[in-house]
Amino acid sequence: MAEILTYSGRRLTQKLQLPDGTELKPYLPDQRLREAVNLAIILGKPLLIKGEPGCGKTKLAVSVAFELFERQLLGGDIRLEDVYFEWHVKSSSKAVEGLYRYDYIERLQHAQLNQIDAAIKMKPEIEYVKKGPLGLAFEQTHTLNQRVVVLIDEIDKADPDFPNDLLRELDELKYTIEEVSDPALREQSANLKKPPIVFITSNDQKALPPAFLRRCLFYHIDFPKEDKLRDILVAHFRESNQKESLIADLAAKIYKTRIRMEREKEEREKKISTSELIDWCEILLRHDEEKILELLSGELPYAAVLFKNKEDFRFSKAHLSE
Amino acid sequence: MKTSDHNESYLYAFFCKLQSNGFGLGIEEYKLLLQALREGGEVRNKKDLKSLCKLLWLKSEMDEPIFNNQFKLSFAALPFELTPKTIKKETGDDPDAKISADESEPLNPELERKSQRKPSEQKVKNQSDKPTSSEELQTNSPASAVRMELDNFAERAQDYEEEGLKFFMLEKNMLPLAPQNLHAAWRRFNVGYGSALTKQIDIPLTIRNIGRRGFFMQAEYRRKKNRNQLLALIDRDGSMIAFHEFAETLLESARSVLSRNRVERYYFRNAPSGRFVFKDIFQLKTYPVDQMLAHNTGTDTVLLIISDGGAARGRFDTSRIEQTTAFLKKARQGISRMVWVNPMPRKRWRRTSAGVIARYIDMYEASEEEFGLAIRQLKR
Repeated sequence: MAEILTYSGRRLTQKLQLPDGTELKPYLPDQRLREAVNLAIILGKPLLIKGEPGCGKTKLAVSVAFELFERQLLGGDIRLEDVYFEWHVKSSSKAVEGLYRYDYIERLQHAQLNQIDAAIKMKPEIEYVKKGPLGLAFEQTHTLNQRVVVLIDEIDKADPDFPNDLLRELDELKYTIEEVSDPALREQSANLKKPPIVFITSNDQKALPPAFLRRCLFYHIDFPKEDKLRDILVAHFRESNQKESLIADLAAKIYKTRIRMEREKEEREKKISTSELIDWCEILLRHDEEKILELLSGELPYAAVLFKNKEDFRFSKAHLSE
Repeated sequence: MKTSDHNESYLYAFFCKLQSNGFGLGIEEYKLLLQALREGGEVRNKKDLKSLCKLLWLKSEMDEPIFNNQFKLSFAALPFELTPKTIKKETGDDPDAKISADESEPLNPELERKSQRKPSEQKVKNQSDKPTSSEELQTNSPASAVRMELDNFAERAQDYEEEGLKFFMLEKNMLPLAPQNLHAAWRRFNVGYGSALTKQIDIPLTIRNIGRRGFFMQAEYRRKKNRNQLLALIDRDGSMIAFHEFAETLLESARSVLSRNRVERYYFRNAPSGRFVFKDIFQLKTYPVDQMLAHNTGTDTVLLIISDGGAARGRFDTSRIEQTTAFLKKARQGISRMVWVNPMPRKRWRRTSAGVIARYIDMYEASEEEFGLAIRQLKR
């Protein structure tokens, strides 16, 4: 009976450094997001995550990878890059790039050199295939016999047809390497008993095709509520030697600012995001408590970290009212 | 599992409602939800059930209000706390469990009425569904079909009233051309030409390849791309008031599928005059027509006009016709492909200005099929 993988979302509550050198920051998902992740794991469907920029879409996947492989990662038995695969989609991306790339140049070079010097042999066809993140992930599910984690980041950046080119790969977990003639090696697939767990993020810049959406679960990450915001900031700045009450105070003030922005701005317009807040706190908390309180008694200090256009600066006093 | 059990399942009723509202859900999605209910986390109350359904069946923020509304209506009779027995009944694991009046715990006679009415409310799409025990449906006779529709409508209207809605909100999804259809049509417009190549050599790419390979192998040609600019001209006068929402929805859809800077919009009143159009919906900022046309020609611009052309009020107005045709003649000098979308149905164009205008420009009504043809004509 296979063990059931579950994600509690409670394992990454402080900064961590893995033996391989990777630094991980705290990630605190809310309950419904946790449920969404677990459902995606059980049903074997990709999880499509949308939300404002800076809300933590991209960081979710690595936090899941960490939790599922926590023991082995902390023990140094495996590296993060063995179980977690990131594919950052660009506007020029083609679906095949995530699977593999055939190194024509190297092959041509070998062919030419081989003609000059017969001692220089050509490699077998398959070795000119350089696998991309998705291709590697499929391979690893066989090598490790575990469900690895894949992130396809900002899928809406690419052509509108791009998601449709991945349908077969996501559904059946198979792909074909066209350049290889050996039928045994052409067809590549993931370990169907241990399929990879796929996370897909989108900034909602373009509409995604319905055929693709059907195959995904969908979750929208909202800006955290006040108490959640406080927990997030406390978790991030535990080592800063600042009092928790001060951090809670910061959270409350920022939350007021955010609410005001939500009320006065259009839905599509940019408002302060979670990641900007964390950056802002990072700078602010370098001062001592007295200085911080002094800074907060007027307009928001370091406003340039929070507000990215001129009109938004009018919100720098919002935390003082009411 | 007897089909009649499905008919009585709230979940199935909800699923059908979503389907008829244009959510592209298939039987696979329904089965997926049942699987999630069986294997997944706890569903203790309606809120949990709603999040679960959202996770699996909601694919876009746009559809959320309709989803929420339908959920509220479909599950109104269910108690807040869901017992395992209710869940079992929904997933069909217990085929003998039938929904009884006690289980739905009517808090008051009104709810009881609702719980008995619900099964008849679903749209019976496929013929194999058996009718519920409360109603004998004779769909052979048109009179009874009409009666059933009227009953459905009356029930729905009563629902709205009971929900406290004093007026009817026309939502985007109720239009014959819903945002989903519009998106699909614009996507088809935008679709590239595959790997088709133009006859122009892409010089930078060729040079880059020479550098990469170390020698010249072949010239690279430019990929054929759809770079069309869309020029939209919208009639925003009195007779078009009912269609403002529709025109804006159509435009928003174009702007989200093609990028924003490929769509330009202008407004006019009644007829596009030969001199000015307006840049804003309140029609205060004028813009010279000549400039609008000059600005857009030469870059493969296509023109889309949205107007009733007099068909909404059934008017036949020679001056309107003349103005419009004069404008069209001018536009045709620079723009090769143009279509006219009329929100009024085709049979209403006869004997109105629109009927005459339709002889000078290809006019399409605002149905899914015809809009698709319009788009196909704009693209080449």
